[in-house]
Amino acid sequence: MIFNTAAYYLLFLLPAAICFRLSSASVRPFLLAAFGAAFFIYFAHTLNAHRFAAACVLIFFWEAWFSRLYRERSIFCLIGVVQSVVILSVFKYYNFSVDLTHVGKRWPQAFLPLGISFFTFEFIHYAVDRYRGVIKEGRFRDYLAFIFFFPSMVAGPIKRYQEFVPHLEHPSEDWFTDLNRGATRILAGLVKKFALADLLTALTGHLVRADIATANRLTLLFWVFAYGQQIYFDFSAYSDIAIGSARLFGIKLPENFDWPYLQRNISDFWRHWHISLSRWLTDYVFIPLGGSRRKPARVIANLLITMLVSGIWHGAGLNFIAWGLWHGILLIAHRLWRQRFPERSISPTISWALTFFLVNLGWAFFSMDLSTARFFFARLLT
Amino acid sequence: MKRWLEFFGGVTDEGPLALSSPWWGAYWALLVFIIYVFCAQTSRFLYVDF
Repeated sequence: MIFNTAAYYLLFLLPAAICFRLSSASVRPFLLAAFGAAFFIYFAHTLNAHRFAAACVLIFFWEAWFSRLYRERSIFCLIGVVQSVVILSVFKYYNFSVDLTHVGKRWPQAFLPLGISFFTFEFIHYAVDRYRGVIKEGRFRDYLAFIFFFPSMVAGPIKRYQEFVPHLEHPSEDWFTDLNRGATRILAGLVKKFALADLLTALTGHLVRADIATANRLTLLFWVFAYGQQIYFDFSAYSDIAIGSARLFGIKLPENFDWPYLQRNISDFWRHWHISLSRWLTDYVFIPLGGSRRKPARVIANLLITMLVSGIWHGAGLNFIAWGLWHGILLIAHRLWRQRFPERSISPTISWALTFFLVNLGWAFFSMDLSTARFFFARLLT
Repeated sequence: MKRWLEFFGGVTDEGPLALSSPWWGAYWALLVFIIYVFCAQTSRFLYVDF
């Protein structure tokens, strides 16, 4: 929701962008923080029935205060990472882990704070980069503006502090181009969402056990491929609206998609699909594990762990773990192929078709629970 | 094709042609019309609410 509500545009985006443009540099961060906090409280209250949903805005204030303790190689940076992981785990994975292990009692009133998967990843980025000394100590108000910047708060793109703050201090002065590009991107994003993604629901709605039981193989493939197109149009539309909204402030957010379905191998697919998440996983999971400069077996393990983290981040369910595993295996297979046959190249059309087929087949795990996905593959293969 | 789609999707600043303001207005009106036609089937964003 949110980006397809009038409230977003009339109560938040337009007033905030206009005020931001007319304010002095010293006031702008406080303005973004105030609008961001109001945005969180309004939509957390509107979209989430839980009475404590809006109170989760306190997480941001706590993070902003705690981040002032961060220093290079400081233990507080590590505590900051741990507390973000704990916040994410408690809200998102507690009931899942209880169901899985049968240890502890379920939390019946569990709810997901708005944008928790995304804002915790930005918190972790800041803590790790402060620990590494990549980010020098900045101003409190800049960090507040960074974490409260509402166009990207709910579903990214996942920003980097060091890339965001220069825009805050010196936003683009080319108002006409920003308005033109920002408005065009928002409208094009809404068209993608309403006219393409939502329309595909007519096909993807069939991905349920009763319909799978009666469909033939070609129809099953058609449905799951339709889901692949739907999720692309849906999430790239969301990213378009977020990036277009930021452009109205004169702020450029990182791109999230760059024609992923035209890529000719799985590594390139991940360099062009949800780019801000792929960068995050590379910098804060894959490289700390040792990256690709270790022994082959360790590199394979690193790839698998990274994609498992990606899978579990996408949702608290075994199907998301299976989806991450699927992509981990594809990445490993591609890596082994390149090592074994460095000189051999496949026809571009075949490599594109193979990548497209395997990625879209993998959406079966994403779109259905594990039991239904297993049933789907059983029907497809037998 | 990519250049055209990216320009008219608002992704790139530089496009294959320069449009004057009235043409942009007409283009935006077309997009708003499409949104109006399809917006009745409002659904949640897939990626956001997980």
